[in-house]
Amino acid sequence: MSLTSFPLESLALPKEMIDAANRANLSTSSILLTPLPKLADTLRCKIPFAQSLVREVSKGVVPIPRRLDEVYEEESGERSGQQRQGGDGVLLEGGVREKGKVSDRGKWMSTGDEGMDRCLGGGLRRGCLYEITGESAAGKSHLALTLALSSQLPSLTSSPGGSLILTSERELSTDRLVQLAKSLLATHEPVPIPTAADADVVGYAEEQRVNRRVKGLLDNVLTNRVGDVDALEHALNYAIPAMLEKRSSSSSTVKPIRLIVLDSITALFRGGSNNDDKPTAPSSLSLTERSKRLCSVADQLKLLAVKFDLVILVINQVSDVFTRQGQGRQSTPTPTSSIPMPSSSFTQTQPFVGYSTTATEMERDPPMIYSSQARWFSGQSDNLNKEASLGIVWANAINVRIMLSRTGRRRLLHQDDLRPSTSTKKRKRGVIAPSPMPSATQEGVTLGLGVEVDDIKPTLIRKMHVVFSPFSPSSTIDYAITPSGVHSLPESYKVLDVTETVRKRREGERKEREKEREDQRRQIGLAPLHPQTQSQSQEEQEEGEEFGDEVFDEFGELPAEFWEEYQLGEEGGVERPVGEVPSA
Amino acid sequence: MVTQENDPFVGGEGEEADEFELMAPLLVAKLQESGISAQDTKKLADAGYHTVEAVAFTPKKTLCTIKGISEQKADKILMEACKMVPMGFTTATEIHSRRSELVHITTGSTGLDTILGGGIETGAITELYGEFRTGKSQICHTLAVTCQLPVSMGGGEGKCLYIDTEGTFRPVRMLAVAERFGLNGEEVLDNIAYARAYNADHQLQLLVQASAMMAESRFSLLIVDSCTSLYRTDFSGRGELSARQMHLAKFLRTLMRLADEFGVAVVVTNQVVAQVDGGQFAVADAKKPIGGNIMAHASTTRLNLRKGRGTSRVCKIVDSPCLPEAEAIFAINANGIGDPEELKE
Repeated sequence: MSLTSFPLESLALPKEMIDAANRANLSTSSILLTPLPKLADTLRCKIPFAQSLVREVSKGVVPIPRRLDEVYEEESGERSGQQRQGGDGVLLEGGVREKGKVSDRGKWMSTGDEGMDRCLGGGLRRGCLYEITGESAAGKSHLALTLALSSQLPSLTSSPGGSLILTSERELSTDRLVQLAKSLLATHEPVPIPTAADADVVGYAEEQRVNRRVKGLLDNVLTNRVGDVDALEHALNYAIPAMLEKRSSSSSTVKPIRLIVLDSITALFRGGSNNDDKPTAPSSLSLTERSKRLCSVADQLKLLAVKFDLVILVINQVSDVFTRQGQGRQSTPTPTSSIPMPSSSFTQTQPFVGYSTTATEMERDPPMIYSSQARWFSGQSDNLNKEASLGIVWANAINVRIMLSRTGRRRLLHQDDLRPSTSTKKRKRGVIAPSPMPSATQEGVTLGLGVEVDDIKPTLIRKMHVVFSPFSPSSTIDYAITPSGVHSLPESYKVLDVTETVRKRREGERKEREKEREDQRRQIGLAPLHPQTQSQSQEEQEEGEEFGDEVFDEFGELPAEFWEEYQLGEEGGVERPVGEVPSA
Repeated sequence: MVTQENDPFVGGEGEEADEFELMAPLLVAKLQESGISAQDTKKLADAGYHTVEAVAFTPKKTLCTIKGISEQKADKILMEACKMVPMGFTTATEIHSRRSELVHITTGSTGLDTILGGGIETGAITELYGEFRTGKSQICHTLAVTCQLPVSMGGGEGKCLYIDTEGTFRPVRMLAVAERFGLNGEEVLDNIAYARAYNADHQLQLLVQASAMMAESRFSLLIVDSCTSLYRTDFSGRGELSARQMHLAKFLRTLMRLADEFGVAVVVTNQVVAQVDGGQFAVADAKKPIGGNIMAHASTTRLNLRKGRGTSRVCKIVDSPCLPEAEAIFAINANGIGDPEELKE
């Protein structure tokens, strides 16, 4: 909390103190921080007077601590009813808040998709700073657009409101926003259409109504461009608070803002200062400058989040993770001569960054260097050799980090895939379960389905990885972007246990080292030390992740004929009739 | 006193102008109502800030340079000024209505235009990547002519700036395209400004001249063919990787600024690198565009080109803020890019 936001006049001080301070041109911070003798000098008064001034100012500025049980009572009081699921922040097994119980939600803002809500521990929580990071085309801006709309729907959040999107690279893309608005409304807030004699009239009126509602949603999405860090700081310190105050004051007719998106923060900090004649690699001086500004931006964002009770979502980009020279079982080229080839995101043979597999365990990297620590929070994983940008400073500033990635697998999806499985056992391949949501219920009332899936071409499966969060364990879930928005595949929810992963890694490396030693001994002609290890490793090789009916095709480059012949399931469940040629 | 440099809201000026038509600008003396002393407002007026709007859009650092305005005072002044003045946040509805007037430059192939939503978008960077012989330079040559067509015919009504790094510029191709659209070949060639870049620094310098030229006459297209080939040779080795990426980032930022400022369409072509260690799941012969994450994030739309049968080529949208992943087939004909033969029948 900056002390400049406590001007002297706002504190309840006796008049002579304020006059003395104003005469000497002192501000709150200088009163509190100047040593007493010097302060008394500046005020031209005695030390006891200065002392009582400092005491009065401190009393005015100090925040009042609150007891934890008071906070707890307040928050659970927001959620009426007995449906409390174990208390705030505790995620029970399958602890998803029931849809529709709006009063239970408290500070949570649902994403509109149950699987994602589960991953996040209930959705997005107001008052927190979230970060969405990932490669390009991973779906970050798209997810932000979806959330900018879902924050306005009363069925998804207890305190709906508009959103503000600050863009740094390009202007907001509104075409997709309109499409998303239509399908979100159809899914979450369908309005029953009364049947009328004339279907055309109904159709037109309905269309008009939908357009009006969509415009209503879009009217509450504000946006602005910020060209550089100065512009961002200006906006965060002055323009945005002024606008937020105006909108949340009681006399305002528009909805308050409940979500602020910054897309993207990396472009502001990575581009380098525009005044450089010759751009060079960042020096340590420029990096400390960058860290300082990152911290002040993060502080300001969190302040806005708490003061105005909204969610802040910052979009970040990624950089590649380079394994250090001398590591790994592959021979690495000498540093100076080769062109660098960062491990592609599809490689799975690279060992964990920070661990060398040289013979002795002593030569493992010291635990406090960045690359050893980064694997816990940077979003890199076995399948993904990319880490979030802006380093450790930014990682410590945010509350939740979400890493989005493209898995490279494609699957022909059906609407049933996207709904949570109602039965306990996995849906059998090839059998289409009867759809639980009928398209027409009682007579005369049609409920919008909203969920559209492209079932001609296989859809790319993407992965959302909650890297760290105070509200839920680290987990991943697969999802797809369809014409109707973002939908997760409910059976793919997996809670990660990073310690377990690291332990398995170490085991694997140890076994590999042993195997190497065995090979060496065999070459020399000595008897093997441990005869069992060979069969064990063979067994492990046969284990692998099964991907079922998915195909690896990152950019959809397999020819159309391939997809034609490709069929789901052996029992002839879902087949595309042969002879139907999809238009390329 | 608000010039382009110290206006913190790049691109926000249009909206403020619209809103200010409704109310006359407020004199800076009005700040006295919020508790700023008369002395301070006089100091602001003397420094050249006569309206509250001028003060509101100035960065704090600039205000602090005024004699007699301390940091706390500047803070307070800015806070009050921003409360009084609408700060230029536009709604998505307004942006949507503006986007419907956006100019798209036709590529010459109806299939390609359809998946792109009308053609290459102006005001944004479009990246074309693919192996050799996939048609990247051909598309550039066709676009250099179609950008000169009137908007009613799908063009951009402006000149073209062509920055070439590989020496693939062939004016004779453009004459053939001009004939197809019924334009005078000589005039078409006159409207194309050509420059050859010899190294990465030169490439960046050319953009400075480009902005000078764009300020003088109307340009609708800027082509850089290819953007990354010089970086591949000028910077080598892992040690120079960060220098290369910084330089590339600066180049792309300048391109983006040109696209924003002048509303031109920017088309860059990119090379690909083969992925030798594909790992468990690699598709055979996978190719990845170079430039890393910097390149990936800077371009608004990325198009992946690959070879089809004969003269046909396939284009796929890989990364776009609003277009779904779709493919289109086009052909390289004698008169530029067009539809493939089968579709014509």
